Amino acid sequence: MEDIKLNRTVSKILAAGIYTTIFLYGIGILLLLINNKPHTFSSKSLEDIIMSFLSFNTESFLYAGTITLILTPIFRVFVSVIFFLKSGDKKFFYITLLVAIILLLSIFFGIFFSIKLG
Amino acid sequence: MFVDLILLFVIAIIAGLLGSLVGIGGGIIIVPALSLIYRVPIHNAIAASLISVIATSIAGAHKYVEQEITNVKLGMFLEVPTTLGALIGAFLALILHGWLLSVIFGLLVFIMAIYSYLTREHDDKIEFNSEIDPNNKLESFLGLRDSYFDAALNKKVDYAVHKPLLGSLISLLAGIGSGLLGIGGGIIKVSAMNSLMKIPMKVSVATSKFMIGVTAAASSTLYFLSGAIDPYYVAPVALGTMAGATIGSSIMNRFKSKFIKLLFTVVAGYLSIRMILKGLSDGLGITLF
Repeated sequence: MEDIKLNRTVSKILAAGIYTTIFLYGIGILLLLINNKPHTFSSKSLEDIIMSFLSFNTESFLYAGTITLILTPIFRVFVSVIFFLKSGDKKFFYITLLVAIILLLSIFFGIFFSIKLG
Repeated sequence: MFVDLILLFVIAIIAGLLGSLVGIGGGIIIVPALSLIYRVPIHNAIAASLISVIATSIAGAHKYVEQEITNVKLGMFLEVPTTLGALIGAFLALILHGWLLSVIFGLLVFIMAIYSYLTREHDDKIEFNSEIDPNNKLESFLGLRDSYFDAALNKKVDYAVHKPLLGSLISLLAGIGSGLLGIGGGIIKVSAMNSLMKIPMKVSVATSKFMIGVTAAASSTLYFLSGAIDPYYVAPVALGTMAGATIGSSIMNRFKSKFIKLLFTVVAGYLSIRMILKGLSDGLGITLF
């Protein structure tokens, strides 16, 4: 019974993540098509990302969609940690907690070690 | 610009559809497409692919979880080694030269294609044992037994999760592969779950897809924060793969695994050779064809 409840919650989180992303990407791509400007590929620094995110333009929607996508599975893990804690399933509480810690580490490493592209 | 976006979208739909059928995130097609057709540097192609891998995973996974094919607890257990692997893989990729990464990509995908061909008959031979082995400590500690309804066989299939330690080690490798090459690593996870852990093929595919989102989220965080993601490419690719994956997961239950494996062998085999040739030409100036 508990498993079915978790399945439903997880399924809802994933669905919410997809629909939000589709909405944000949809607007972003629509604006891209309307503006129809040529684009050359470029890498973005963390500063570029933050600046374009704050300037509320086409890129902001595209970034918001990307961030939503990355955060959806991460959010699902954190919700599972809380779920197992509440349902008293110690075994899976520790297992999901470990996954959550690894995910936090990846954010930590990403921010603090700015690695140059090879 | 208009044509570029539409073409990218169409390629992504095909990648997502095929990826969803095989249990991969479509990265095996996306990385070569961006790299060979659009000349996007491979690190950035890998980063874009990882985002589409997350999209495919979520779109497919949410349906399988709803249909109760996914073994959520098994997925969460294997996410520990696989996310750790993804983190290691992303680190490795960011310090390697692009041409070398192309060659490694090609070689690993080639091996996967061969493996997929060799194990094409495998699924039908596996006997599912729904009893837990009391002598295997980790197996009895986890105690994962479950069942799912197979629409193609029209019956309920019972199974138990065996050899979790071996499965974890292979998931770690799959995670490294995913972070390193942007490919989701589903085909490795699916093979490990199906042939070693004795989990039915469809449960393996569904559970792998469920895990892939978290695996790719771990590595794409590193790529994203280190600036490798250009949202102009990522958005149509992610949307396209998501659309393809949605179509794929609704028809996946109707196909025989043998057909899916053969299809994968042909596509992956061709793309892997193209990537090896590109890497050799970019890095060492060797042109074979």
